[in-house]
Parts: sequence; C-alpha cells; structure tokens
Amino acid sequence: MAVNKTKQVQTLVNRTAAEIEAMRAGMARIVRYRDAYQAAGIDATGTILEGRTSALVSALTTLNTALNDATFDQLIAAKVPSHRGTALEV
Amino acid sequence: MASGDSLIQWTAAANEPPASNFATLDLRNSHAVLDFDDTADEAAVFRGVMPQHYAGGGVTVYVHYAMTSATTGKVRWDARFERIGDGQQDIDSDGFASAQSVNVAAVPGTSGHVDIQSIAFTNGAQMDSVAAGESFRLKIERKPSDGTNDTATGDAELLAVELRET
Repeated sequence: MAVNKTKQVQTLVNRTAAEIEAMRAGMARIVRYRDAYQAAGIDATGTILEGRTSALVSALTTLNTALNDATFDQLIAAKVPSHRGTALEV
Repeated sequence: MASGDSLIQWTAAANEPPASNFATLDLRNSHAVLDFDDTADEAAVFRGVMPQHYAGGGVTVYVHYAMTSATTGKVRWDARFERIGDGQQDIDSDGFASAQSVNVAAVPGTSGHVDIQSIAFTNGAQMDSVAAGESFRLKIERKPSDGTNDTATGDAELLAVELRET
C-alpha cells in the first residue's frame, strides 16, 4: 500500500524548502560581493565585465528578489523537521 | 486478576529494537520516547513474562503516544505477540502472530498531548497463545504504508505501553 499523499506533499515541501534555504544563503554571499564591488567604484574598462556590469547587477537583483519571494517564506515555514523527505522517489 | 487490571507496563527505554526498520530512541523535554517515521513502517519490541495472575481472558494493549508536530491527520498502530514460553519458539528466528490494529481517526490537536489508544486481543491465537508464566515479545508498529489510515506527517512518539487483562 502506498503512503498517503500528505507524506508525498510534505516531502516536496521539505526538500524544496531546504534547497531554497541553501540558495538564499548562496545569494546572500553573492550580494555581499556585488555590494563590495559597487562600493569600490571599479572601472571595468578593459575587463571581461566591460559594458556588462549593469546587466550582471540587474540579473543578480532579479534573482535575489525571486529567491526572497514570500511564497518561499511560507514553504519554509511549512517544513516538518521530523519528516525525513523520502515519500517521493527521484 | 479482574478484567481491566494492569498486567505489565513498559516505557520507551525498555525497547529491544529489531535489526532493521526500528523506531529510534529520542528525548522530548527529558521524556524518553521512541520516534516512528511517517513514511516507512517502523517497530519497537518489548519483552515480558505473562504474570501468573493472568486469567486467560484475553488482553488489551494500550499505546501511549504523542505526535512530534502534527495536530491533524490519522495514525495507525499495529501490535503483535510472539510466544517464547517453554520450548515454544526457536529464538534463532521470529514467530510473531498476525497483527491487530487500531486506526486513530484524529491525532491530538496539541502535538505534546499524549493520546492513549487500545488494541484488543482474544485469548489464544491472536496473542500467539501466550499463557501465564510464559515469556513473550510484543511488537508495536506504526503503519504509514497504510495510506488510508495513516496520514499524519512527521514522527509519532511512543512513550509507554500497558498490557491489561481484557
């Protein structure tokens, strides 16, 4: 007999929330580097970022906004710590 | 002994875990508990000697449990006996009788509240014919593989088991 769908839903919630939290942590590190770069007022002329700095900063801002969407806050709040996340086979 | 009188009681620390798929010992606010997974069937095993005052009227197993975090949903508990007795069971293998079950329609609305559920066994084959003075094992199992009767997410925590004369 298969486990109830509530367990499968919880596996998706737990696993997704854990990955989102990891991505948020990574994003926070990227933001610190971005902010440090901008604060330093670096002239990118003659480097790989020449003419691309604004696009990069914009893309990072968009990604940061997406990762911090309130929907993911609700997902993270819905984690059940004692659920081991094994009800879905991947 | 009369009907309803207590025969034996066990706490979580008395568990003799099976070799695989076992409930895990844990502490909850210094209460020793056995954590039963919400996805894989897990079991705990308790050993006893049926008291001499068991009158042969059948027994009822009382399962004392709380949910780690769930406040809604259902949980299913199974119990089964293995008679060891005097020359009745080769202990190099397991010989548990068929399980009897209780389907809990709703777990407590507060996760720290302990619920007590009962599972009745008639005297004889249902309790593997354990008689007064005979040693036995009692296996308690949570059954999340029963997707109809076990829907609560997160661990179920067993605190104690009581055996009474039915």
